[in-house]
Amino acid sequence: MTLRGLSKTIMFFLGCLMVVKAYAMPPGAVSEYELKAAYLYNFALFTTWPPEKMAADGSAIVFCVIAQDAQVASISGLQSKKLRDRSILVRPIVSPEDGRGCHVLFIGANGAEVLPQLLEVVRDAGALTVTDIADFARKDTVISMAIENGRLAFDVNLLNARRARLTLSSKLLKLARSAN
Amino acid sequence: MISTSRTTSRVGASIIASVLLFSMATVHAAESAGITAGQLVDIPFEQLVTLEVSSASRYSQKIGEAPSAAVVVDAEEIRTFGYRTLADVLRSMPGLYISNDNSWSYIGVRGFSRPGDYNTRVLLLVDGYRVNDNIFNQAYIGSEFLVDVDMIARVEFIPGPGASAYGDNAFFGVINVITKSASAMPGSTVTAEAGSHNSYKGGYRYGNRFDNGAELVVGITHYDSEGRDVFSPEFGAVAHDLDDERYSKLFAKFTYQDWAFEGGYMKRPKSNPSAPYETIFGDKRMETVDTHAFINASYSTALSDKLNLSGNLYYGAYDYDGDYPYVGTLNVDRSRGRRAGGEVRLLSTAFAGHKLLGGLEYQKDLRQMQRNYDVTPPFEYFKTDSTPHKYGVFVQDEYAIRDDILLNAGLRYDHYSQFGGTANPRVALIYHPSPGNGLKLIYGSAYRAPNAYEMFYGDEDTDGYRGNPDLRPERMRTYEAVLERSFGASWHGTLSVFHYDVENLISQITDDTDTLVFINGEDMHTTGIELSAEKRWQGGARIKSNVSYQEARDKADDRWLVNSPRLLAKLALAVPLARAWQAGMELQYTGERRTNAGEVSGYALANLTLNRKNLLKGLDISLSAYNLFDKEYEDPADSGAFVQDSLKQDGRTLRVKLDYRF
Repeated sequence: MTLRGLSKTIMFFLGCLMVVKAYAMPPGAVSEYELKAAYLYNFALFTTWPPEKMAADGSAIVFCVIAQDAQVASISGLQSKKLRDRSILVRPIVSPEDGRGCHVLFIGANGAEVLPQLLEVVRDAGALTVTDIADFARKDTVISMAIENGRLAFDVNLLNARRARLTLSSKLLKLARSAN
Repeated sequence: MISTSRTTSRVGASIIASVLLFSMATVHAAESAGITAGQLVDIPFEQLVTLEVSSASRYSQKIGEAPSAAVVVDAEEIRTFGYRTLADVLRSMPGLYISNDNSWSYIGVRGFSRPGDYNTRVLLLVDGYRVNDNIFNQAYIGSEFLVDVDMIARVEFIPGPGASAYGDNAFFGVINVITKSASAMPGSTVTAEAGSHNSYKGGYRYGNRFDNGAELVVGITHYDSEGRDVFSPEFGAVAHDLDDERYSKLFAKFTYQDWAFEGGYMKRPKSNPSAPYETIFGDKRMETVDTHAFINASYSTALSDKLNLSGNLYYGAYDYDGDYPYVGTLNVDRSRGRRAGGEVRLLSTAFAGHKLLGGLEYQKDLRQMQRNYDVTPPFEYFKTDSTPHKYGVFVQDEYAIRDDILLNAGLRYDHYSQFGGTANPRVALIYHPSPGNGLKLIYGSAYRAPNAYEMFYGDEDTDGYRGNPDLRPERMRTYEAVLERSFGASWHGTLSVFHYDVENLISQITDDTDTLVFINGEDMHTTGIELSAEKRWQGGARIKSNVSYQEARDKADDRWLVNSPRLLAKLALAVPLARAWQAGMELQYTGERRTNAGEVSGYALANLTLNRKNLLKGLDISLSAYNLFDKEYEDPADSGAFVQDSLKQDGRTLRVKLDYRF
């Protein structure tokens, strides 16, 4: 058999097998970054910002992101969606100063170092701060995500939400692993 | 007189013209087997929280579930510790050590790095493109690496045999370099560096994500260094201005929807102060030039929510040009390597509990020219060329026996037009009860095919050198256990025990006619233990440390291998300082090593980098001192190339780096 023939046969065989199986099985696991991005969308969906933060009608909701490339890319996928009739703008940020004007501020794995300065910048700016860094950032942000038993759980810090003058819906609080 | 082993030239224009941009599939496969965030947001939140999390592809596999004790260094650490080259990055990783012969840098893994071997037993990938050239099969890791460090998002090192997934050269490990996306470096950045030995580097990089989702990344770098003046006891003199190094690098990447197009060019002329191959000591004509160029088109798409198709198509060129001055003549050593190939992969999560990967790879060597000649009087010692091809077929299954137990099994068959086929399996059992905790038991096998240099450098009439077309692949079997454990809130530790068994190593010998020739001969084995621990503190401080001990021996005479430290220990500490400054400190110890004639003593190096982001708006600064205490140390030399038994390495060097974003 020629190389091309062999390749075709293998591809065809694998293809058939998988297509047939694809329709017979329940949905499998979801990529971590994609799921986290979808959570981020839902956090924003169930959050009410202070009025001055939502000035012009139809202005975009700004998601600021400091994270690894792959995660930034996943979150950037939200830009094709609308959030309560507003468009979504995902902005990767590099330095703490870029944190101004964000509605949602996500701090991922490589944002740990600038986290203190970043939180300083957005302290009273009405930003929904979210992180997925394990343990140590939790007490400083509004929402933190963590994988537990193969599911993605999140915790809400109500004190930080109040400081940022955000109102979180009861639905969000009900789905949280903890809210205090 | 014939000088040596290697030579390069101008690849540039010819390559860029010869485009092969037509393909199926990516090397750097997409994150998931399908569902994107955009689709997930349509699912009600209360259902979303019940979904199971995982990551899919071969390349973006979560490190905890990889069938190996994989290590990662990201752009943040490259900045924090002031790493200048890929070799600097690798030097920081557990169990790895780097040696240098003033021309190239060599990586040692598991106590194995024989002087005179050209980094053939490690596979080097850039976004999935195989960097190892098709003449020497060398992994270029020093400043001769294809891509500038500022363009790197992360470097993964996957120790152990990767032949079951990657085929040739994935013998002791795979270095996977992933370049930055536009979102990681938005806008323009200008870089300027100045350092010891009159070293200067300038660069410009640009990243942009367009409204339609397309991304563009471009980087250009130029470096020039005078190098150091070295006193050579063997020649009783100082080598003045004989350590020059220059390089230019160009890299571009364009991604749009399922497609990625990538290309790079690198050229580096380097002098050598140590008069290799009995050239005239102190002659400024001594120079080696490496030139690389490549283009790679990749594609990745979800055929369904459980089936991902990816693949790539590439063209790669490598030129080597060596000028070796002798009394009465200049000897020129040249190589021209050209290759093209591609890969197709299918990843399926259709079977519950299984993650199934299958693929097919093909490479055609369009050119493997090697030539050696004298300029005056003109005389050609030999000229050879060959155009073999090879293909590989592989399957891999990751089977979740239980929620916390994974069985990872892979098998790959490679066929070479020159010497037939080889099959290599790998099996790993991974117990992963919770994040950060786990036990992995791994069995693997690998091969390395003889390369064009070993088979065809010198023909029947060549004085002093003869290629050996009858060489067979080297083989290895490995056994490894890896234990991972999280302690308290933020300590994470890894313990690894391994035994590697290598047969039929391709080694250079001098035969009874005083001719240098490669033969399949030596068998060796290495046994060792590796321990690493890291901790992150609230506020950004972190510590990484690791110790490894290994015994690498020749089976025939039970002799300790040359350039094989038994002990390696590393400590890296990153600490935030006042006013947003940050310090990165490293201590690296390499134990004593045997040389061909004796031993070189162990040494400890300290490096210190201070850096500050946004000193002024958009301006980052970093100040580094390498080998801070000016420790004198030497690397074992290749007795085939050098009169010296060992080569003295760099003392203290300083560097200032500025990055300005706008």
